[in-house]
Amino acid sequence: MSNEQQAPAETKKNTELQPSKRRFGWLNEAIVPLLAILTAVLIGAVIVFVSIPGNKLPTFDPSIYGSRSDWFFSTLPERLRVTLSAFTGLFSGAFGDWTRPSTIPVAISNTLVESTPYILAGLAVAVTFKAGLFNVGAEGQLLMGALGSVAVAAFMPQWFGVASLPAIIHLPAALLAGVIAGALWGIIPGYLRAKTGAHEVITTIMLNYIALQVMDYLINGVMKDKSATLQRTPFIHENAALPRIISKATDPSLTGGQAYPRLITTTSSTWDLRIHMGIIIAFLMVGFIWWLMNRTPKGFEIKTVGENPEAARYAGMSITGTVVGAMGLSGALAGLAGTSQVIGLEYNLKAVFSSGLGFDSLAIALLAKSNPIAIVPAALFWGALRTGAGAMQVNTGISINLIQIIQALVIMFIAADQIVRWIYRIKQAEGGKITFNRSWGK
Amino acid sequence: MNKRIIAFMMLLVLMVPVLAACGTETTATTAPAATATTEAAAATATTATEPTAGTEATAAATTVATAEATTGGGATSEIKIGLVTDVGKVDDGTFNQFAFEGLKRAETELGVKIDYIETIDPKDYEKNIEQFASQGYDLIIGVGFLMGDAIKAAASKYPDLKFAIVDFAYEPALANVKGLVFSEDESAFIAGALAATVSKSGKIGAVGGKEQVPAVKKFVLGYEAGAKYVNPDIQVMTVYIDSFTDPTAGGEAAKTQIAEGADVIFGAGGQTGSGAIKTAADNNVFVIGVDQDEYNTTFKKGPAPMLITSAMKRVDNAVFEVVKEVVDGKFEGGVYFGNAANGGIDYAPFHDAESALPADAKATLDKIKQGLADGSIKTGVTLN
Repeated sequence: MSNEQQAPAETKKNTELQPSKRRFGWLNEAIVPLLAILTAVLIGAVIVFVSIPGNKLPTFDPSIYGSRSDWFFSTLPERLRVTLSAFTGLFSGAFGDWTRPSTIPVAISNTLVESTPYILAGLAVAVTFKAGLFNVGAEGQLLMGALGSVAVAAFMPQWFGVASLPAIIHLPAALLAGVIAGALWGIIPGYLRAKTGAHEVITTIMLNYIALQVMDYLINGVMKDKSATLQRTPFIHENAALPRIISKATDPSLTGGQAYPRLITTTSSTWDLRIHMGIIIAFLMVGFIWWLMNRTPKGFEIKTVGENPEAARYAGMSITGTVVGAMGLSGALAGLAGTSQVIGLEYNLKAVFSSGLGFDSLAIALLAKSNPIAIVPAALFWGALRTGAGAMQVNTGISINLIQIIQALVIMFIAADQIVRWIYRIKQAEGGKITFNRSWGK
Repeated sequence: MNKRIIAFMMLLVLMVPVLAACGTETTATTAPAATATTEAAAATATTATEPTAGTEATAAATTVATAEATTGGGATSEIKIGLVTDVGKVDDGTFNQFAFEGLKRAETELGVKIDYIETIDPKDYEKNIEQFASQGYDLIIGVGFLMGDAIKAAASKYPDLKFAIVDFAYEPALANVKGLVFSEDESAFIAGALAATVSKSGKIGAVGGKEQVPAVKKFVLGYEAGAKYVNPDIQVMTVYIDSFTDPTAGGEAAKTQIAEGADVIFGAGGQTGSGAIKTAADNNVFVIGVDQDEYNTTFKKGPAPMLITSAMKRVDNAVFEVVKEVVDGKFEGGVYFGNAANGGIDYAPFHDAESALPADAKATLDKIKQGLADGSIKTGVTLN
C-alpha cells in the first residue's frame, strides 16, 4: 500500500520533469499486459512442446530408443516443428493463411465476430471496476439482454396482430429491449448494494443462476419453437435483425423462412462473412464510454466514488445514485452484448447460449486495466485465441484447453504483476494502480 | 538483467522432464486404442533401423516410420475426414470419444487422414465445421444432436462436400448429409432386462441427463420397458438432471434412489450419468453404463465388480461405416439407423461382474437381442 500512496507524487514529478514521457504514458501502462501475454505464450509453447500427442510423433519403442528420455530427445526436431505449427495454426485460424489469401477475410471476420461480445461485456465490467464494484453478473445480464431482445425480435409483430413491423421500428425496439433487460438485471444488485450493503459479488452470482433458469424455463416453455427439435426460440423476424456487413444472400429454408438483411450482397464464397453491425455498435460504445469517463461530470463521479467513496460523499456526490447508475450502465452494456449475439449472429436463442462470455469479460477488463480503449485489443486477443484454437488443434492434435491455460496464465501474470516486473526488470508503474482493488481492500 | 532471464529459462528447462513424464504417460494410456498403428510403426521401424549410426539416423528413420504409419495400409488416395466434437473432448468417455475411436479405426484400416476439433462453446459449431469445409475435407462429421442446425447450414453452403452427424436425422433428408441415429430404446431394453433379473428389491433406478434430448428419453423409457418385460411388477425410479456435465448431481440422485431401495442404477446422461453410476458402484449397488462400454472409460478398465453391463450405441461402427462408404464411393445422403438387427446397438460384456450374475444371463440377453432384431419383441417406446 505504501507504494501506491507514493505513486501519485512520483507521477507528478515525472510529468513535470519529462513532458516527453507523458506522451508515451500508454506504453508504460501497456507494458505489463503485453509482457504477461508474451510470458504466457512462451509457457504455452513449452506445454505444447512436451505434451504433443502420440499420433503426431514417432511411437515410443524400447527396441529403438532404449529409454523414454532417449525417445524424448530424439524427437526434439519433430517436437519443435509441431510446436511451431501450433502457433502458425493459431495465427492462420485467427487471421487467415497468408499463403492462401482467400482464407483471410473469413478468418478475420470470425475473429471480429468472436470479439464483439467480448468488447461489449468487457466494457460492462470495466465500468463497474471504475466505480469500485466487482460485477460478476455480466453473464446473467447478458442472458437477460439476449432474452429481452429475442422476445421482441421474434414475437413483437404478433402482440400487435400484424405479420411484420417495419425495420425502423422493430430493430430499435429489439435493441432497446435487450439493453433495458440487461440494465434491469444490473440495477437490482446495484440497488441492493447501495441501499442495503449486500455485496454485489454475491448478489450478481446469484442473479446469474436466476437468469440462467429463467432463460431455460422460457425457452423450454412459451418461447420454444414447436417445430424445432432443438430447444430454441423461433427465428427472429427479418426486420429486427442487425444487418451483416457483407455476405451471400441467406437461404430462407435454413432460417425459418426469414431473409436476413446485409449491407453488401456478394456471390463470392471468399466474402461470405458472418461479421455484422454488432461490431460497429461495440466500437461506438467504446467511444461513448471513453467520452463518458474522461469528459463528463458523471464519469468523474463514477471514478471518484470508485477511488474514494468518503471523499465523494464529502464533495456532495450521490453514492447511491452513482452505484446504481454504474451497475445499470454495466448491465445495459452486457445486455447489448447478448442482444448483438442474438439479433446479429444467431437469429434465435438456444438453450445452450453463451456459456462463459460474461466470465471471460472479467478477464478482458482486467487485461485492459479497465481502460475503455484498451478493451478493444484485449477483446481482439481473446477472440483471436478462441478463433485460432480450432486450426491449432487440427495442426497439432493438442487439446483445445491449451487456449484456456494461456488465458489463465495471462490473467495470473497481470494480477500478480510483480512476477512480470521481476522477470523483465521493469520499474514500478507510475501511478498505474488498479482501482477495483479498493472494494476488496476495504 | 540477464541473470533473472536465465533463471527463468532454467526454470522452464527444469519443467521439461517433469511435464514430459506426463506427456508420455498419456500417450501410453491412449496407445491400446491404436495398437494397430503401433504395430505398423514397429514393423517399418525395425526394417529402417539397420544403419544404427547415431541419434540423427534414428530420428530420420522414425520420421519415415510415422509417415508410413499414418498413411496406414499404404493407400495412396488422400481422403481427409474432419471430426467436430460436441462440447467435450475426444477422450471424455462419451459419444465424442466413441466417434473418435471409430475414426481412428478408419485411419488404420482404410488409410484415411483424420483430424478433429474439440468444441469449447456451442456457438463455435459453425466455425469449427467451416474450418474443415473451407479446406475441402471429403467428409465432415459432427457429433451430437445440438449440431443439427450448424451441419445443415454447412451442407447447404458446401453442396459438394459430404457430411455426417451423430444422433440426428433430417426430415426431409439432405442429399449430402448422413444422419447416424440409433434405437437407444432397444439398447436400454436389453440392459433393463438384466437389471430386472439381478434386482432383489424389485426396485431399480435410472438417472438421465436432459429430458428434452430424445436420445436420453429413449434410453430411460427403453430401460423401463425392458425391466417390465422381465418383471412386470418392478418399480422403476427415474430422475432427469438438467445437465450432461454434472457428475456430483448425478451421484446425489443415485444416492437418493439407493436410499429408496433401488439396487440397480442406470446412468444415461454423459458425465452426469457416469457420476451417478460411479457413486452407486461405490455404495455396492449394481450399475449399468450407457453409450459405450463404461468399463473402459468411467471405470478405467476395472476392477469394477458392480458394473454389470452398458447399453451401447455403436457410434464407432456407424462412424466407421460412413467413412467406408465415402472411401468406396458409395456415400448417399439419408439415415443410418443403428439397431439390434444391424449391430448398431449392443450390450457390453459383463467383465468383473460375471460371477455375480446368473449363469444363463448371457443366453437370456442374447435371446432378447435376437427377438428385438427379428421384431418378435417390441420396446413399445415412442416419443411424441
